[in-house]
Amino acid sequence: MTDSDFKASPATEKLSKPISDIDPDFTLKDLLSDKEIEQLENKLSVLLNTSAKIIDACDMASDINTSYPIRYQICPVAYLVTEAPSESAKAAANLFESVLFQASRYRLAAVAHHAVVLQDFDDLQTKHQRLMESEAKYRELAVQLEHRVQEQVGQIELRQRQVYEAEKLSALAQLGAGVAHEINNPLGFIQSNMNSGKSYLREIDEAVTALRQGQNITAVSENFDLDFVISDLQTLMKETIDGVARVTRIVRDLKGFVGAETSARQQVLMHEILESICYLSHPLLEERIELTRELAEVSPIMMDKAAVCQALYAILLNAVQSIENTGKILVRCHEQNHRIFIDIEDSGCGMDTKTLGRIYEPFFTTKPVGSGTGLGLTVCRDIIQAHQGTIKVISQPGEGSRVQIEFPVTAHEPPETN
Amino acid sequence: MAELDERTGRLTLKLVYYGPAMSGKTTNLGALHELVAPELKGDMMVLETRNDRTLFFDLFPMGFATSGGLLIQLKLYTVPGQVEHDSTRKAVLSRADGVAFIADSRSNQSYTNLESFENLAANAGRVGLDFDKLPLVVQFNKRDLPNILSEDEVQQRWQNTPWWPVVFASALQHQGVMETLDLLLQRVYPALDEEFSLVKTHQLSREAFVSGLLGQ
Repeated sequence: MTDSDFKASPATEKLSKPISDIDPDFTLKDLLSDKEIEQLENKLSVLLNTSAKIIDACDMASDINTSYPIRYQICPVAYLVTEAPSESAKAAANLFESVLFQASRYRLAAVAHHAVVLQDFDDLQTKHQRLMESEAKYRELAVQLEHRVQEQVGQIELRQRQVYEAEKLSALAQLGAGVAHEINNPLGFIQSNMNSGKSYLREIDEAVTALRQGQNITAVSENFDLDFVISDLQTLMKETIDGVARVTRIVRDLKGFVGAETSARQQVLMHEILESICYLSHPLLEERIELTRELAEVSPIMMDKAAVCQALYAILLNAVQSIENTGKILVRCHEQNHRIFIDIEDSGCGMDTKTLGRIYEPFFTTKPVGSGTGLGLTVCRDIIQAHQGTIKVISQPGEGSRVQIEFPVTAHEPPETN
Repeated sequence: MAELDERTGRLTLKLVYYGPAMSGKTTNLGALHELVAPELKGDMMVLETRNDRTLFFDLFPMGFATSGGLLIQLKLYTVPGQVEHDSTRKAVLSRADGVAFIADSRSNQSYTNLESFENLAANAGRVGLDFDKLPLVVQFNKRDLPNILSEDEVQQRWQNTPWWPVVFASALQHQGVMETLDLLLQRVYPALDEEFSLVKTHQLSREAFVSGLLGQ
């Protein structure tokens, strides 16, 4: 079928309204006006040479004898009443029928046209109604879709958050491993020193007993080698105190990383943070990397200390990992025009432009599978930007990398109470 | 649907000549106007043709009075065949008592015939007629032309439909035109008799009904 109307509405669908009759039973008055009838009567009177009356079929009285039917289609709608001879009267009635026939042509066309227009309008309204319905349906769909997209976005954000946290934990785990070694080391020699100290004390105790029993001090001193014992004990004590100081220092520095989940801001001195981080990275350096610090005193700024510590530690970790054998790392900070500048430079492998362009992309990593999530710098940049800071990485393959970080000094900011 | 006006004692029937453009619907009506001789025969109304094409519809009214005094009025209509006049076709088809489908016998018109027939079925549904019960006669017109489907071919296609037998006609030559109307009136009569009990109440048999209208 090619009729376009067929496609617009299925064959089974009925028209919403019945179609009006296109061929109604017209009466005389429907087809001719009173004035037209009067004019025709006058003309017929002249032609018939006697009076001629046109009577509407419904007004026709039964007592009139000399009348001639005037039909529209096959039924009389009027009668010609005249005294004229029947031949002439019939001819006059026929003539009048012709007039009615011509008049009805226009009326029929008009009625048909009206019926068609009404029907077309009705069709249009039905189509319009359907369009409205389908529009409403699609609008509802759009809303549902929006809801579902939001749900999905929520899910993705939640997962992202979880991966993010996992990345933070992984950095902390690396930090923890290094720190454990750094604490174990002094603990080892402290324990050994203490054991030696304990036996030295026993010897001193015995020497004192011998003296009390009246032995010669010179003999006792020689017997117990007191000069060496006391001197060595002093050395051991000094070493032990140094070791305890190192552990204390590590614990203090580690405190910087504590409270990552509270994200409360506090007054922070950047040079102290960098000092701590350098200290904590010490076990990673082994003997092969020379770490230089040029840390000028800077103004305190309000920061989420734990987060910033993590970010800076991660950057320093990158620097360490970029150096395959031996190399140098330079950590600097200074303040200028109410801005704090931090530089972490390494003599490591560096990066090409292509890699450099992707370093902030989540999950982008050049490290072997399993050793990094690729979120390190993404997390760092987020943390730095959350403190109105900026980060910039300059690098050339084989010439090391330089990470430049800037923070504005926002003086006298009241501490947040969270 | 036929209407019985109790006041005037007039039963009015409506038959529609349907079919594709230029298949000879108006020619059928014109031939009938000359051929039938009922008691009452109106003039044939042709509502404006443009280049031989019907714009609205053609109308030929006729009628006869039964012995019981009932006036049977029959109105024959044609629809415009062109695809774009679908609204007019629906308006004319509305309330029809029967349909004569005038097909063009020329073999290159088969698709046009099919299209128009499907349009008839669809429009019948739209105007509330039950197409399965609608009295229908199919006429294959223009049998006088060359390159027409043979009667065998037509039979093959139509003999297993409810509308067999079909009528072969040449309306210009007045052939098959009366047969078509005759057959259609035969098929229309049972429903009328059932609704208006023509035999019982009005003593109008099928034969009297058909011959009264054809004037034979």
